Amino acid sequence: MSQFHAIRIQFSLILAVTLTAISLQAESKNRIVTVGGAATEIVFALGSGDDVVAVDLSSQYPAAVRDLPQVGYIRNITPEGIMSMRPSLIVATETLGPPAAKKMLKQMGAPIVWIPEPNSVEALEQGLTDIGQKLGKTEQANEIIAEVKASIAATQEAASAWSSKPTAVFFITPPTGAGGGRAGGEGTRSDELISLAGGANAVEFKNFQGMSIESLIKTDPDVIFVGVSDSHGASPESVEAMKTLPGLANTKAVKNGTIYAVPMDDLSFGPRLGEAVNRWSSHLATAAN
Amino acid sequence: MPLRIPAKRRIYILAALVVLMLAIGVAALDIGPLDTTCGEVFTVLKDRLLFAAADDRTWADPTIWNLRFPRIVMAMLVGAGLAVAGALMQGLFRNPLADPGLIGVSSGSAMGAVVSIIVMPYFGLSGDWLVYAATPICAMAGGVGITFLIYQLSRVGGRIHVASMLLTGIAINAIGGALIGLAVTRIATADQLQSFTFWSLGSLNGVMWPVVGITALVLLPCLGLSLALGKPLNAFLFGELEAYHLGVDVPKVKRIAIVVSALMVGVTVGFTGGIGFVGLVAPHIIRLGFGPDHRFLLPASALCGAILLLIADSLARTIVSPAELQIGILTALIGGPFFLMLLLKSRKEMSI
Repeated sequence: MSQFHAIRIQFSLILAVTLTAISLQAESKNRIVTVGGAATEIVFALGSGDDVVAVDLSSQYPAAVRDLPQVGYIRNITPEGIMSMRPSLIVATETLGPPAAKKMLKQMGAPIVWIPEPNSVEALEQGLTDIGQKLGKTEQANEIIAEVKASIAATQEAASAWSSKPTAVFFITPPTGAGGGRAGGEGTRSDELISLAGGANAVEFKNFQGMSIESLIKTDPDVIFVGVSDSHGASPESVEAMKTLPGLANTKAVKNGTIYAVPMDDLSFGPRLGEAVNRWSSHLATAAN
Repeated sequence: MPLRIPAKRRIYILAALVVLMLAIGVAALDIGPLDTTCGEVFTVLKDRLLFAAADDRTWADPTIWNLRFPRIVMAMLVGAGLAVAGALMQGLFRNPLADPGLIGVSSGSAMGAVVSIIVMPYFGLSGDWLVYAATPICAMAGGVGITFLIYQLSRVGGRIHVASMLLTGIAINAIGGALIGLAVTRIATADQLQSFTFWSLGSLNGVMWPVVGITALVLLPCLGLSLALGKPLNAFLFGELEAYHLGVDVPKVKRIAIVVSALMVGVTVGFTGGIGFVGLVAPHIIRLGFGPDHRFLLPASALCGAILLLIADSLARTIVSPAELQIGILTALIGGPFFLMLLLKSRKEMSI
């Protein structure tokens, strides 16, 4: 009897120690909630993707995040939803809304890293630096920054040799037979991307606005970009359909075959910015030479 | 359906509605993405309401007291305000389809929101005060301002003609819609467009105690004033002229009903965005169930609106958790079919 008792105590002790070890291990693991496509991409690029327990709806890359719980769309976040994931760290883009939710999150006392709105190389650098510091991965962050900058510099070096600066229009929704599309003007990420890639935005209005087929013909850009994505935005077929639109036949882009489908993700201004700039630049290059 | 309900029965029904509202309110305190127990809800309420010392509070405390409680009280206030404003408009216009949107307060508020979210940043205005305070202030000012404009425009020889107010309202609402469209398609950035879309669908997300305080400060006196209009609005049921002969100061009642509705809808829409359907549906539910006596209809609509919005907000907070639905989607989605069912059921007895 006493022997049995001793075994039981021993067993309990082992169990307790094991459980403590497991729970300690579980606690040492970060629980990160990311809000905003660029924030999510940066955390994954820094190798902490396994620690991410929930994302927002605007986070679509890498594909693994689509299986995670979603805390809502970046403009419509509930503090309780985020807190219910018991985060040890929240990484969010400053555009998180509504404003009151942002204020409340700060009051809840959870550790948060806010990164600037991702719309420039500088913003990406800032985001990578801040998140890298918080995750203790400063070196990796610096490496990624150096890589992105080197990649963009190389692309721009090549672009500086072009004989001309091609003009381009980016459509977030392409024009169809029935009507115009929605194009990116000044102050948009597509505008920034075109200039980083060595081109000039052919439209002069601000923000994303409606652009009729007629004004597209009048603008007659060297290159037309259309953002495509499988979750939202245009499909590759609609880009093909643009080439057969009556009226566009005489435009430079259709005549030279310089209408390109680009991933909508290119506008996320995350760690893959170098790739995006390179892709857009290679399309512009065909029009420049 | 008798017009008058015996006073005793009125009080019993109202008391039952109050109990139902409070019960749902307390239950809603325990509902949310974060797990809480009934015991925790009780402890937090006890500590906070008795001003107990703040030393050993757990995470349940800020969740229940700072995140859920204010928005539950806000849901009651907003629901009551919208429902009573709807009941006043229906009584005043003697039209079951009337809602505060008719007197321009909704489109005025939306215009105010557009100014704060899209137009002000376009002219370089920005800052913390703008982010937190501008939208409620502008939306409320827009709602009350446009109502005042419509009121002035439809005054003929010092008197308000209800039909002309309705037509003026339609014209001003159309112009307002066009101006909003212009701002949204021509100068809004993608982020601003999204912010406005979410605002227009309404949400109690992020409501904090100071907001509840301001709303209560505007809403409670307005609700009190509205309740005093029960008797004259009953006289309105027979027509304006008849009401006048029954000794009702018709212009004064009109003025009070319009001002009070504009203030109530203005302040609630300002803070929580466009929450549709409650103002139309809540008074109808009461009227279909208990008849059109305004002395009962007004307080009962307030409670009914509060209950409807409490339920809608509890669902908004939980059904897609950890994300959240816009409450305006839910009020229309639940209110619509429910309303339709009531109408179909009572169609035979009614002559509308």
